[in-house]
Amino acid sequence: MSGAIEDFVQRIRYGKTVIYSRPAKYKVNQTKQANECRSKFALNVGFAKAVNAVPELKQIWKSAKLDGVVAYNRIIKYNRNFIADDKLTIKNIIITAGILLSVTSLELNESELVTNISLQERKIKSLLNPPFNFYIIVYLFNRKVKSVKAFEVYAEKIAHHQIQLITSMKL
Amino acid sequence: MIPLNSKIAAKMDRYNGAIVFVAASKQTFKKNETYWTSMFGKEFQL
Repeated sequence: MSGAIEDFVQRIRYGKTVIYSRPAKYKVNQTKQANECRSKFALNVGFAKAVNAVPELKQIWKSAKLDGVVAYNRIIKYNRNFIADDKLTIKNIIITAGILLSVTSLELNESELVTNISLQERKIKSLLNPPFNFYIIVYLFNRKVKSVKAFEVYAEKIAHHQIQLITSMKL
Repeated sequence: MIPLNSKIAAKMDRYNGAIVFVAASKQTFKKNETYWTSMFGKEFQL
C-alpha cells in the first residue's frame, strides 16, 4: 500500500511498506508533457463534474453496463481518450448510447439554442412526446483574455415545457 | 427553441469557441423506466 495519510506518507521500498513523515514541499514536475497531462486531466474532471451534477445523467451513467464503480469515474474513464490538443471534442460523451437522436441542425445564438430533430423513427418520436427532459452541456474554450478561466463547462437539464416545440411535417 | 441559462449566455462573449452537446431522456410513470437518446455535439466559433 502506498499514498499519504494525514502527516505520513507510505512508500514501497525494496518490497516493504515504509512510513515517512510527509514532506513540507513537493517538487512539481514542470515538463511540457507533465503540464499537458495535468491540463488534460483538469479538463476531464471539469467535464465529468458538470455532467455528473445533472441527476438524470448521473443515473444513466450509473445504470449503464460499463467498467468503473461510480458514475463520475465512468465519465472520466470513457472521456479521457476524446480530449485532443487540450480541448474537448465533439466525440466526448455526455450520455451512454441510446435511441438515435437524429439532429439535422443545431444553431447557437446569444440566448437560445435552435435545433431540428428528425422524428421519422417511432422510438424517438415516442421519447420526444412530452413529458421529457432535454440536456445541454456547453463547453467554452479558447478564452479571449487571460483574466478568465481557461475553459468553462455548464450542464443543464431543461424540462419539455421550457422548450418551444415546433413540429413540421413533410408532405 | 431552447432557452440558454443566463450564466452561460453572459460568459459566451469571453471565449472564441464553444462545443454544445445535447441529449434527451424520458421517464415512464407506469413502469418507472428511463429511456434516453444518443447525444449530438457541434462545435461553434463565437
